[in-house]
Amino acid sequence: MWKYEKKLQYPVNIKNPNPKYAQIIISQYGGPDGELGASMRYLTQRYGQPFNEVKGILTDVGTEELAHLEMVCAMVHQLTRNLSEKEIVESGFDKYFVDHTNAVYPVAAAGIPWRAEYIAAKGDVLADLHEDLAAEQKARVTYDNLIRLIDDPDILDPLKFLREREIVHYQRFGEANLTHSNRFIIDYIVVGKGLSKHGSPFEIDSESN
Amino acid sequence: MKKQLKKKIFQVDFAIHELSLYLDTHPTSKKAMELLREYRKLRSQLINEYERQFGDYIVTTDDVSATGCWEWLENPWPWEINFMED
Repeated sequence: MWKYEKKLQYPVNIKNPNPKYAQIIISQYGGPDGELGASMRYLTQRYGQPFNEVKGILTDVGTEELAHLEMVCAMVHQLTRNLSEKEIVESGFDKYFVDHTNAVYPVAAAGIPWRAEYIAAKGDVLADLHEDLAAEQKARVTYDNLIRLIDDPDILDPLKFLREREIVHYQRFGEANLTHSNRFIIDYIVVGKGLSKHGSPFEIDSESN
Repeated sequence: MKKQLKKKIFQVDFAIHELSLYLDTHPTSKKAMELLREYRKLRSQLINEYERQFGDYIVTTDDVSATGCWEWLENPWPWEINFMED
């Protein structure tokens, strides 16, 4: 279960609305490498994991990603407040506005709604952790691109915080991978421990058993 | 001041979270456990200080509020402008 804390992980306070910036930042909510996909990816992968450290890091990073999507939505919300009809049309925000008004809906910058195909859960510690390492780097590149395109310190500050978190998560997933991939390869792929038990890889015991 | 104290608590919250990620992949690190204990202690001191001066720190749905009102609904919400100014 989860509990809500009525705060952001890092403050977002944007003085000047800017619907053009909102339209590219929203990709880090509902885009292919956005925070919605990140949280769903890690929280979904948890159930297929044999090792406690991996269950732990997926739970804790997946939970942090929920806080990140809230920060991204806060940015989009603040950037699209108090707009005139003229500003909506001239910024090109009208194409989003006609369907969603001032709601924050998970879409990519080009308008494609969020899709479950953005995430993977293979039920294999090697495959899943490598997916996660790549995901963190792809999200980092997206933040790099946003930082290149945006020129407002109120927006850059939280974006830089979020970019840094991708790097920390990459580091932690890398450590989990180093710790467990050797163990997994020797026990389950070379020795065939999981396969030989009942002839099915799904019988791999959890550490807690 | 309220804003400074709130900011300090958020910073300590972040340190606690960061240490918990570190401990997920370094579960035997005594140094990280020690730091975690220190930050947890600091957090509870800061929250006591906050509540002594300004009332409930962060209202959650299972808090028994001092006023008996449903303060959960009070503005501003975290994604709104000037949340930190409140």
